[in-house]
Amino acid sequence: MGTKRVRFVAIALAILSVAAMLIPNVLGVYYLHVVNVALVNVILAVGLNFILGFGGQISLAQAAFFGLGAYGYSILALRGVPLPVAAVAGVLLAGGAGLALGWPALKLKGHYLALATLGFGIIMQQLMINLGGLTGGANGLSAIPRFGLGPLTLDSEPHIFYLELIFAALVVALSVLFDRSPLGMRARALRDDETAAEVSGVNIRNIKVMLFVISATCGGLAGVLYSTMLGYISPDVFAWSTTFNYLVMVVIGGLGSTGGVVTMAFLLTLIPEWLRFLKDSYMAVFGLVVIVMMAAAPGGLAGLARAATAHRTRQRFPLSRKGAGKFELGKPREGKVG
Amino acid sequence: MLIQLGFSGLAMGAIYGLVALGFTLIWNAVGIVNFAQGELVMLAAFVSVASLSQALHLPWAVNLVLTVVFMAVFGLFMARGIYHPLRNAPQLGAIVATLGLSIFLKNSAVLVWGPDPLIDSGPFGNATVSLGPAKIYGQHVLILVTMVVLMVLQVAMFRGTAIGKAMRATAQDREVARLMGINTDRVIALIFAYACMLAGVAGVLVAPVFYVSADMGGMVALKAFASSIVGGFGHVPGAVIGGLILGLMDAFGSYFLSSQYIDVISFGLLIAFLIFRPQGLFGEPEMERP
Repeated sequence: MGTKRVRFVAIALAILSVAAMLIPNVLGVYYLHVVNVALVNVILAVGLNFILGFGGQISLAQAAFFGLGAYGYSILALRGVPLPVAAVAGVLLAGGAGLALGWPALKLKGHYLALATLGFGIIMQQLMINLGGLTGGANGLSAIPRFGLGPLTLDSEPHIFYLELIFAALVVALSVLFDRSPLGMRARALRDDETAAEVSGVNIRNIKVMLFVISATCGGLAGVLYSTMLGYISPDVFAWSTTFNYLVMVVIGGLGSTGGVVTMAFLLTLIPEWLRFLKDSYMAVFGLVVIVMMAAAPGGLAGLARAATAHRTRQRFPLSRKGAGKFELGKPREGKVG
Repeated sequence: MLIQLGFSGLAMGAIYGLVALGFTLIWNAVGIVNFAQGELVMLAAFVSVASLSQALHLPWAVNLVLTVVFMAVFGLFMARGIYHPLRNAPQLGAIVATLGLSIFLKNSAVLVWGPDPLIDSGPFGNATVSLGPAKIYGQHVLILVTMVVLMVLQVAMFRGTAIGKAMRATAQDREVARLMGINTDRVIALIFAYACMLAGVAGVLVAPVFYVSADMGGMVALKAFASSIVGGFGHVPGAVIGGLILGLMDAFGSYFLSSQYIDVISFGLLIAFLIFRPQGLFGEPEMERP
């Protein structure tokens, strides 16, 4: 990193933190709440991007980790456990579940892994509904204590905003740093060709489990923040089918592109608010748009941006290889042999 | 009691099997898990009950034929409109697209047919057949008979007809099939149409057993996933047998163990199979492809 770059990053950070100071004053309470929901989605989607975008492993269990964090925190907090302990326990519960799922799932790939994580998501969903004494059943839990430290209780939207902003920024920073680290390079090697990565000395087992645990921990963190933000939770928020939303954020944002995923997480939280007039037809339109997007631009936003810069580069330097032959997740499909 | 449970389990199992068969065929042909298979069942049930039975009062057999024809056309559209543009996209793109289709179908059904579940009495209503001390619902018998007839027809089609052989060849190796002069794009479209027809039959048969609602497809499809894993993913008879096993497990498990936790048990079984015996009961161990 040159000094120029350091200065650029420092200025950008300064501008951003001033902006962050001003946001709660500029936005009304309603939009501030929408932004808070968006920040939870950022943590979920950027977390999912670790396993899906960097590691190339298909996981449909993000909603389950989200739920584990939320229920872990809420159940403990409602029973009078000190709030910081409850919060840490919620995050660890999700991370531990990620470890428990990631270890046996090492043997699975592609659609098999998708189905195994799907099964895990359904089991968690069923447990949330059926363990009524612990989880409040289909009604969920309410009057969950807001997170606080000592005398400070974070119970207003601006407080929650700063709390979430800090954690979202940490997760995004982790993602950006990981992307550039040698570890991130190894993860990308694993994604692009597992066998080649393994013979080049990458410990693919450790990396896969690590990515699983990071994704699950982010999910748990989002769950803790979500339950302290709203004060009530119900199992339908953590149903396996909601994983689809986070999947779309990552895939349409662009696999492995932190900026694209953050953008999509914000867009997919804001767009439903702007399209209120569509009412019940919103989800149908959403499904249709996703199908069209997948057919038209399988690389997502980041893919489109890459294609645009590559096009410009080619116009200026017709012989340049830059931007040509970028990775894509998974090999082209083929019919199953045998 | 045991006979009764057995029959209702087998009937549900037959439905799971039909659905599992549908996406096993699609998986074998193009390597996509169709996450919208359950919503196809839901679509067929709505078309059959809301549009054909309640609005037009058509007799059951005509209703079945029309629904299946509708689903076949839908399948051709799916092959053209969704599979074809995505055929060279990465795996994940196809997963997201079929999930998108399932969301689209589910929410469109609410828009078109309303949020209230429909009740259909089916051709037999609540009539039962006595078998010794047990009383068996006519609908369950109908499901099982249809299933057996369909399987016989399917084996005849795959083994005896040119189109069936072309389908098997395409599933085995698309490239070689194409080199042998098979129009694989057309065959794949037909496989999609056939898979949708199976979902159509399942939808018409299951409508009197369940309430017809936008959510009815979800659990059926998930159980069908579990069935095909238990039977061996991509194994055609395995999908049906897996379905029957899951159906029996549902019936006996919810009676003897716990009706609340039966789904947890089913999907625990799915994960256990994936980890310890990924080829299922009948599949052959898969060799790693480079």
